[in-house]
This record gives sequence, C-alpha cells and structure tokens, in this order.
Amino acid sequence: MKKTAFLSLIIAASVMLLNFTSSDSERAGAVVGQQAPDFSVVDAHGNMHSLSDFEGQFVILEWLNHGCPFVRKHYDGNNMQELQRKYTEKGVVWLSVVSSAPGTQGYMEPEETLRTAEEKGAAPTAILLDVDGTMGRAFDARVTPHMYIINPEGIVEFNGAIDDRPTARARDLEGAHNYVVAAMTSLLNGEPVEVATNTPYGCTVKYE
Amino acid sequence: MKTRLLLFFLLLTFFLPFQNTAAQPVVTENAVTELVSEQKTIQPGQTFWIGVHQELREGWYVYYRNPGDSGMPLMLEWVHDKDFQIGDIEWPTPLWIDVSAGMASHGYYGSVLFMMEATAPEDLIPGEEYTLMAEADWLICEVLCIPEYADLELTLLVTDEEPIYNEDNLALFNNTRTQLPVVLDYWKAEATIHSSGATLTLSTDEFPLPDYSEIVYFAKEEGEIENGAAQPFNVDGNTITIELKKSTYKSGDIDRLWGLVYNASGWDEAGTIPSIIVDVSPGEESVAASDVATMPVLSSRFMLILVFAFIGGMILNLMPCVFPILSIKVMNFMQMAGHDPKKVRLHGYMFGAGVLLSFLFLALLLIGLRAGGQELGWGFQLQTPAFIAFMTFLMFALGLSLMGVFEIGNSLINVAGKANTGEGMRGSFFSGILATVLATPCTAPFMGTAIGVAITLPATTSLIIFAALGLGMAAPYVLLSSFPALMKFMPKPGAWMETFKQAMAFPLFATAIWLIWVYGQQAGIDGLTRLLVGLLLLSLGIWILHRWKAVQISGTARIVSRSIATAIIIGGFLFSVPQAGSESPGNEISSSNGFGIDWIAYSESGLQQKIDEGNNIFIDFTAAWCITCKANERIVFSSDRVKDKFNDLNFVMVKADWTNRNPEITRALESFGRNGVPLYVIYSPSLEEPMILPELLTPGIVMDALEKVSGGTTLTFSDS
Repeated sequence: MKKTAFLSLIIAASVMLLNFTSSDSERAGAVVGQQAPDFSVVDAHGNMHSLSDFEGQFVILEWLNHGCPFVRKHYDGNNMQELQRKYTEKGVVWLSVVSSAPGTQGYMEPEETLRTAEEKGAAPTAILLDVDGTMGRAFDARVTPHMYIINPEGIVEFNGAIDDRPTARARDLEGAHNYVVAAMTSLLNGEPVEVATNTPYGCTVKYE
Repeated sequence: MKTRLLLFFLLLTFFLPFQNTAAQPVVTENAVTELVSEQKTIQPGQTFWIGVHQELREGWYVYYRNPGDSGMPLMLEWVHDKDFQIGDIEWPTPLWIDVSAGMASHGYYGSVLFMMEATAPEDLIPGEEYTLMAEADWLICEVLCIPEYADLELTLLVTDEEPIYNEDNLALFNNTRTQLPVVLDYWKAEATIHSSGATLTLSTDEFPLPDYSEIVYFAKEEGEIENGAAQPFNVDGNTITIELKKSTYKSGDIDRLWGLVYNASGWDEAGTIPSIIVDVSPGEESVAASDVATMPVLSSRFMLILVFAFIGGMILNLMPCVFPILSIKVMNFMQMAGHDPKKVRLHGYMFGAGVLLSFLFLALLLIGLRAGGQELGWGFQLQTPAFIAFMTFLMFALGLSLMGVFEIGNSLINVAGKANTGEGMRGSFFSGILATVLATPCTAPFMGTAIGVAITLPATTSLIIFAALGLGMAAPYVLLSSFPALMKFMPKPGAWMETFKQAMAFPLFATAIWLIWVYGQQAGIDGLTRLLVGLLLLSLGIWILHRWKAVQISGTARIVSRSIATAIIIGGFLFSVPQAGSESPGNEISSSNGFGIDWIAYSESGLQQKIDEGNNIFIDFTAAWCITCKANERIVFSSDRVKDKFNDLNFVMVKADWTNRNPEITRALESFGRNGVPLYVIYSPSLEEPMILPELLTPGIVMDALEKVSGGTTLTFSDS
C-alpha cells in the first residue's frame, strides 16, 4: 500500500522533473560570468590556437566578415585597427574570427585573408578561420562584428556590441560609446565591467 | 522587376517638371526611394502627412524599427532650413523573417511607406514653395546586406485656401494606414514575468474569439525578447496567452512589453485590423476576468477528430512501445481468469481508468508545458535524459523481479501489473498508467493528426481529444474483462506460469537495452557508462533488500540495511542522470544506420535551396527513440528495389533527426500539422504539393509513391 503510494509519487515527481531538466540547451553560448567555451581553430598562417594557450592573458574576440557593411564601417574608419594595436601592445590577445562558410560572404582562403588584413592595416594577434562554424556556434556569435572579452581565468567578461551606434555609417564612429574600450578600461584597472552584455549589431554570421 | 522600376522612374522624370509638388525619386541599386506627401498644397501651421516611399528590388527587404538580430532601420536626418516639425516614423506591421541559425529579422518586402506627421510653421507665405530635405540611410538585405543612402527632397506649395490632396498618393497613404498598429480599447493586455521570459495575456469580452492561426509579438526595442524564438500562443475562452523568451543579452528580467502584436486573422471581429499596440509592465494591468468557459463546438469535423483519436488510441496497443506492458497484462488476465468474473471486470475498469487518467494528466502536462513556452511534441518524455534513465531503471528492476531476483508480492511488479488481491485493484490502475507512459513515443497512424490538432486548440478541447485517445487505448482491456468468456481461450494456470513469467523478463530487458541505446545517443559513451553503473548500483541495492529480508532481521539491522539499499539505488540514479549544463555537444546526427544512403541533415534553408533547384526530395522525420521509425527504415531501405528507384529519380535524401528536441524540426513537423515522428514527405517538381506518406511504410507504399513522381506522363495518359 505505502509502497504503491510512494512509487506513484516517484513517477509523478520524475514526470514533473521534465519541466525542469529540459531547459533549452541549444543556445548556451558564451555567458558572462561563466567559463568561455574552449576552441581549437587554425589561423590564416596555419597555426592552431586554443583558448587554453592564452591562460593568464585577456582575450578579445572579434567576429569578422569584410563583406559586411557594419564591419566595413569599423575598418574604413580605422577604428578596429586602432583598437587591435592599442590592446595587443598592452599584451592583450586579439583574435579576429571568420565563421563564414566557404561560398558565403566573408569567406576567404588563407592567403587572401592575410592579404586583406595587410591592405586594411589590421593588427590582431591572429585571424582564426572557423570554416565549419564550430567556434562561432559554441560562442553563439550572431553577427559581425560581435565582440567578446575573456579574462585571464577564462571567464567571459563581455558579450555584445562594439558600440552604441548600430549603423553602417562611418561618420557614426565619432561620438559613439565603445563598449569594448569601456569594459577593457575597467578590467585593466581591476574594476567590474559596467555594461557586460548587450545586443550585438551587424550582419548575421554566414554559417554554412 | 528592375526594368519596370527604371521605366517608372523614367516616366516620372518626364512628368515631374509639370507638377507643382516636386518629389525626386532616387534610384539606388536595390530600391527606388521617394519623399512623398499626401497633400499637394499646405496651409501655414497645418498638420499633414508625409512619408518615405520605397519600392524594393524583389527578394530584398528593409527593416522595422527593431530590426531583430541584425540590420538597421531607416534613418532620416532633416536638413531643410524652415522649421517644419516632423514626427517619428509610424512603422507599419513588419514581417517576421527567418534568417536561419535561430535568428530572425523584422522587415518589409516590396513597396513600403514610412509615414510621418509634419506640421508647417506659421510664418509660411502663401504662394511660395518650400522644400523639405532629408538625408536617408538604410540597409537593404537579401542574404547579403547593402547600405544605401539618398538625399531626398519634397517641394510643397503653400496656400491659404483649402489644401489640395495629391490623388496619386492618397491610396498609398490609406493602404499604409490599414497596416499601422492601433490601440483597441476592448483588448486588455497583461504581462507576467518569469526568469526565462514573459507571458503576454490579451483578453476581450467584445466578441467570441475564433481559432487564431498566427499571432506574433514584435518588441519595439532591441534586446528585450529572443527574436528567433518561437512564440507559442494559446487561445482559451476570451483570453490569448503568448509566451515570449527573454533575450540572451537581457541581464535582468523583462520589465516592459512594448511593441505591437500581429494577428493573421485580425484583432477586430471583421478581421481588418492586423496589429495592435501593447505597452504593459508586469502586474500593471489587471482585468476583472469574468472567465466565460466556452465549450468547444461539437462540429462534425471535431467529432471526426475524436473518432480518429479513439481509433488511434486502440492502435497504440499494437505499437512496440506498449508490447512489454501487454505481455504483463496478458499474464495478469490469465491469473485473474480463475477468480470472480466481477472482479476481473473491475480490474479491466481500473486499468481503463488508469489509462484515461494518465492521458488526461499528460494532456494537462502538455498544456502546462506549452504554456511554459516549450516547443515540444508528443514524444517529449523520452527526449529528456533524466526520464530515459528513470524508465531504464524501472524496466531493469521489473525484469529482475520477473526473473525472481526479488519478492514479487512487495515489489515493483505489483504496481506494474500483478493483481490478485484488493491491493491488485491499485495494481491494475497503475499498470494502466505505466502502459500509457510507455506508449507516448510511438505516434500511431491517425494520432499524429489528432495531436497536431489538439496542440493548436484551446485547453478544454485538447483535454477532450486526449480523453478520446485514452478511451481508445483502454477499450480492448475493458472489453476483454467484461466478456471473460474470451478468457477461456487463455491457457489454464499452472507450473508453466513461473517459466512464462521469467521469460517475460526478456522483453523488459530488451526494452531496457533500447532505452540505454537512446540514452547513449543523447549523452554519449560516458553518459551511457554512467547509466550502466547506475544499473549496477540498482541491482546491488535490490540484492541487499532481498538477501536480508525484512522479516528475517532485527529492527536496527532492518533500518540500516534499508537505508543503505535506498541510498545506493537513489545514488545510482542520480549518478546516471546528466548534470545540468554538461549536455553532450555532439548529438546532432545519429547516423547509426544510413542503409548505404547519403543522408543530409535537415535544415530549413538547405531544404528550400534543394526545392528551388527543382530536386526530388525525400524527408525522413525520425528519432532514435522512435521504434516505428526504425522499423520503417529497416523495412523500406533494406530493399534494393526501393533504393534503386530513389537513385534513378535522383532523390535528395534528407534526414530530420528529432532525437533531441530540435526547434527547427519541431516547426517543420508543425507545418505538416504533426507533433511527432515518424513523418515521411516527398517534394518533387512534378507534384503540386508535398506528398505525405503513411506512418507505417512498406516497400510497396514507397514504390507507389515514387511511381507518381516518375510517372507523371503515364498519369496524364490515363487522365485524358
């Protein structure tokens, strides 16, 4: 008798459990305050990079697609290159990630990637060629430019837009509040990040 | 399209000099943009309507105020020197545009007018002309996005007489007005916030609500809700609830639902108002809800659905998932046959009640989960690893019990099926529940339709349909127990029954193996091993319970041994259940057996591309936990004749694997009115509509279907 009641309770409870265990896991991504997803991606020079290689350093991730008007805004205005120089000089790792699948906008062969980077005067630590989109999906990178900051312990400190002007016009660079600069300034001073997450703007990442 | 636009532009340039309103359409690569006015002439101090009118290249779109996951809306900077007051853009109701990868854009195709209210300064001189000037920036996208810009001008003549309307633009402005969201005071809006999102509740007493087919909430601001997420809604009586998922980039809870709600059927009784404005904060608006519970209409269509549901329920008994329970039940009936026929009948009723109640419970759960904003389907129980682990434990323990490892009288099997005392009534009841729980992943023919309908209907209607399903499943048992004469055909009880009972353990072990395999598909080899270790602990606990029987040992030893055993069993279960957040990543495709066919994984964009290319396409909606699917695949794809036919017709073979709830596949199933697998669909340029195959396949059925695809000419011959 008792056992029956007890077991019915178990059945009911485990069925109820569904409600709680079936959380949406499809979109974990890089969550601020949590460990960043690890990755192993080849760069345009053919070298492999993993997040664990950069333990003890700040890492800035920039999703890149040179065909995207929003990205062009930041490169034509020399904004992205300046940021790359500014932070790599301070020992911060800057990784530009291309998740465009072959045949889609923004995809380039390694040589073309390097040539374009030189033409634009880009100065990241490396340009990662995430051809199959594994890294992009792991981070839930949605647009170009989508920006992330990871601290020396591998914790995500920022996930969001590069600045507060969601336009493709280069003239909007002037007077824009750059969230990456604000976050990095706080982090390098050992302070908490004020705006740690917001909606990134740009073109969708051209996953396969 | 483009040439037509160019012609239009050329014509305009010809006629422009002769008009007194001088608007300059600007042709860019993908759009023709023009600043237009509803009036040719204006009075000083008067309010009038202007707008930016865009004719877009076919297949390209521009954005709504909140562009969604990417993009940028139209931006205007007014640069004229006179002090015209120009209001904000009145954004027409946008479209929800799927841009794949779970992302969405909000925008407009074709011809769109962005209206604004303008007020002329008082100091304008009648008879003079004034020019409004704006720098417009917009982003126009197809797959790629192109930023475009134009300097727009509009010259207006000032008059002190009655203003003259611009006949050419009146229709444009009026059509756009019908597309603007409005405030309807007879709709009350309310918002409830939960950690993962918000529920928007809309209610009215103005008219009885029809079955709405499509309702979409568009947030006015970015970063509030997840744009790409489904917005399941439910119409119940006079109330509509819409589930909204919070944006990943929203740090706190949603604090305001501000935007518009689109309804494909319209918000007024006549169905002419496509969208309404909502602006509510949680708990702000409270409605004196006089809940008028409207009974579902017992139309002939609804009755037909109920009949199908009943038949579907009956067929459930024949499905592989129910088989182990059937074998237990058969054993029970044999045992009961020697007893009082009244009692046997009562057992039948109890079993039936168990089935019925659990169907109702499932329905309530389904309604609850649906309200909880989950995209889920009929087989949803078996998609949750914790549930699979639980069922594996149960099956394994039942099997051990049947084998005689532990006492039957006090064991799980008592619940699962054995019934010969007063307590047995309870047993019958619970075996009814168990049978139902096991049956759910197998969507029998007919049932797909019934469930598909049920999920889109109000809660009460869903409940009735589920009740019909339950009645159908219970019917054979009730019949058999009511007419025990049929029992005569059962063999007489005897010593062989023990052998039979032990033999019955093997189907249960087989079921356990199948569940473990399903679990392995979801949790990977590590998870599978954990589950096996869990089962080892379970058997250890059971062994302790049996080795030191309660009656043979003292009080303390009893308590200690029972606590240890319980701890081991529960610990084993917890050990095997995946920890939150450690879900295995590589669970995309379970290509355990492709039968030598080049399957490609399902994706909406991929499918559309294949359709556009004019391919013959076969889609297999399947899941690792669906035995019917596996059986169908084995029967059909092991036939070389069928495979050759597919090859000859150059079929693209698509596998939509629903083992883990995939929202994209859930949407695809819904688009066919289904809520579970299996589902087989053929697309072909020679078919006007996609062809849906039966849920139980044979090579013959598939060959017939393929004949229709290839034999278009033969068919026309017989037609003419």
